[in-house]
Amino acid sequence: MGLFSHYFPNVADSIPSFVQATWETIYMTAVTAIIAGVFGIFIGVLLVITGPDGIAKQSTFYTILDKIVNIFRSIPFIIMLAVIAPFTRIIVGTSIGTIAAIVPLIVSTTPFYARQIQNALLDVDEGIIEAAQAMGSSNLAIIFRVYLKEGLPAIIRSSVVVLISLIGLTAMAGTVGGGGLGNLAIMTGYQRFENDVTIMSMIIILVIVFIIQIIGDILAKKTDHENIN
Amino acid sequence: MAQVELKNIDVTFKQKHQSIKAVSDVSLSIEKGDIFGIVGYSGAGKSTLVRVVNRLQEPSSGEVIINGENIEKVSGSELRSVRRKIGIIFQHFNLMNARTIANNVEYPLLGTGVSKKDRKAKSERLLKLVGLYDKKDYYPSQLSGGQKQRVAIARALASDPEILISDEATSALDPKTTQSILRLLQKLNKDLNLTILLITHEMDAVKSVCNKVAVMDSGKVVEKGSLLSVFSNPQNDLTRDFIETTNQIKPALRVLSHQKDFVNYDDRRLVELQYTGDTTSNPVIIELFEKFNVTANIIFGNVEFIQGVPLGHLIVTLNGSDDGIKKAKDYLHDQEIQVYNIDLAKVREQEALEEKEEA
Ligand SMILES: Nc1ncnc2c1ncn2[C@@H]1O[C@H](COP(=O)(O)OP(=O)(O)OP(=O)(O)O)[C@@H](O)[C@H]1O
Ligand SMILES: [Mg+2]
Repeated sequence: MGLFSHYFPNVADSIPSFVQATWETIYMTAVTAIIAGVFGIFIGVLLVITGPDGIAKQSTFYTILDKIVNIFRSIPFIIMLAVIAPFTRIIVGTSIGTIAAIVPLIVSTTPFYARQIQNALLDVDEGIIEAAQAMGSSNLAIIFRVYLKEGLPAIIRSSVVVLISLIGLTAMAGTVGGGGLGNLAIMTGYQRFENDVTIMSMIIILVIVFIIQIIGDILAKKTDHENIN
Repeated sequence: MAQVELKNIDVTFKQKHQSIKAVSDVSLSIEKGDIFGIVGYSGAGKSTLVRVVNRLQEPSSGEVIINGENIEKVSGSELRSVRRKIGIIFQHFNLMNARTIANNVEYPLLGTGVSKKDRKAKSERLLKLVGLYDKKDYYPSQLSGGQKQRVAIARALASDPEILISDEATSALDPKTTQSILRLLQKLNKDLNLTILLITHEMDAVKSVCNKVAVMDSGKVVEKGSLLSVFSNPQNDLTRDFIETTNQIKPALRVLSHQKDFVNYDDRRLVELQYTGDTTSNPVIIELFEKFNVTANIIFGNVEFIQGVPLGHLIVTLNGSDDGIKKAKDYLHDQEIQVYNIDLAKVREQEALEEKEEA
């Protein structure tokens, strides 16, 4: 412990803030991931089935949805935080705090994830979809029994990418009082020149990222029966 | 009543700058128990045509009648149950990578009210039928092409179809595996009285299993009929091309066309004789000598069996007087032996042409 407090003097003094900040980061990431995950998969599936060569082609609907996704994808998160604040207040009653940070996180992550899901599902062999149709599957059955099942390894891989970038976004949540490790690193570490706090925040974030990456790789490998090496 | 009846089917693909007529006024009638071959080069419209049969492709015009029912108007769950009665196997197998072999075979039964236990029993029975029971827990990526196609066949049979469509199902397989898949289809046709639609660009496959054949070119059916009638008396040039690929006559002629002894043979005296059935040629050849003093010298012979009926080809030189040869040919004709004059200069010309195209 002596060595630790030597190199990380300020960290040693503020263990509770680290626990708190880590929890906030995990909390924001998890809640956003679940909600944006559901919306993202829903929108991604809609893009695939209504898109060109989709099983329920709807050109106008697709074009509109596609544009909306593009627009939301291109708004930088930090601006989204501000722009969306009134809307956040309507939904969660406040525009400050961890909960309030989750709303813009969802709004930013959903279109990104939807696009990733779309790409993952478009990789499912068209021939397999056609075979399912020929075997008398309904569109709903094709979505659940073919697209989501065949696309699962790719969905897992892109989920990892999205989750990691989501953790990046939570670091900015501090600007609306969302807390989290990013906030701790900037507010305490950077602004008060407590370098060890910044470094420790970074280390914890890296550990979380590695864990997600490792679990993702294992799951992707486990579900991927197409590319067996 | 025909099992599948296609009436005046047209399929036009409209694109921005042009429209492609992929299928043009096709009418076919496929009886129960037929193994019906549809042969044509790439782009002839074969796949488009068969996709019309289960309405994966809407025809621009024409009627599709299955077991007496016009399926033009059916939709939703009714269409899906029509589709379940038509199994398809594809060139690229299209098996689901995320499911085991057994689960692939069970797939068509999902959501049809068949219990899990019955699904399992059925997939096991079908996998035994195609000889892959021991691989039931494997994934498709662990199988060879031929094995994948067997799984695809088992899967196509899971919903007890009455019609099995094979769209280039053997095109990605080696000749030996192709033969074993064709034998399997033939066995299914016999044992289950399954009607089979065999789409292919290999006339050899048609020759070995089909009882009827239609030849497609640029969206049109240019020739159709029983296998024997088409093989023994092809009317269309394309059909002849396809038939040539299944026997050795063309290569034999090519060899002859470069041999000194034959180079100057006049085309009335170098002929190809074609006969069907049990008419053996030997007595006829003796008769030609006895009756017309014409000697027939056999250069090349080839007998094949089309649906059990022998179909023979002989390349012979005829020697005798001009008058004798003419009479001999008429006589052969009366014996229902077809006589084609062979022009070796033309054979050489064509060979040169093909070489040029290849280069
Ligand atoms: N969805 C489509 N849109 C536009 N054109 C199409 C479409 N499907 C097929 N075609 C065209 O229709 C024609 C017939 O295609 P089809 O796939 O039926 O040929 P095929 O006889 O099955 O050929 P192959 O032996 O290569 O499978 C081709 O010219 C093809 O380009
Ligand atoms: Mg085809």
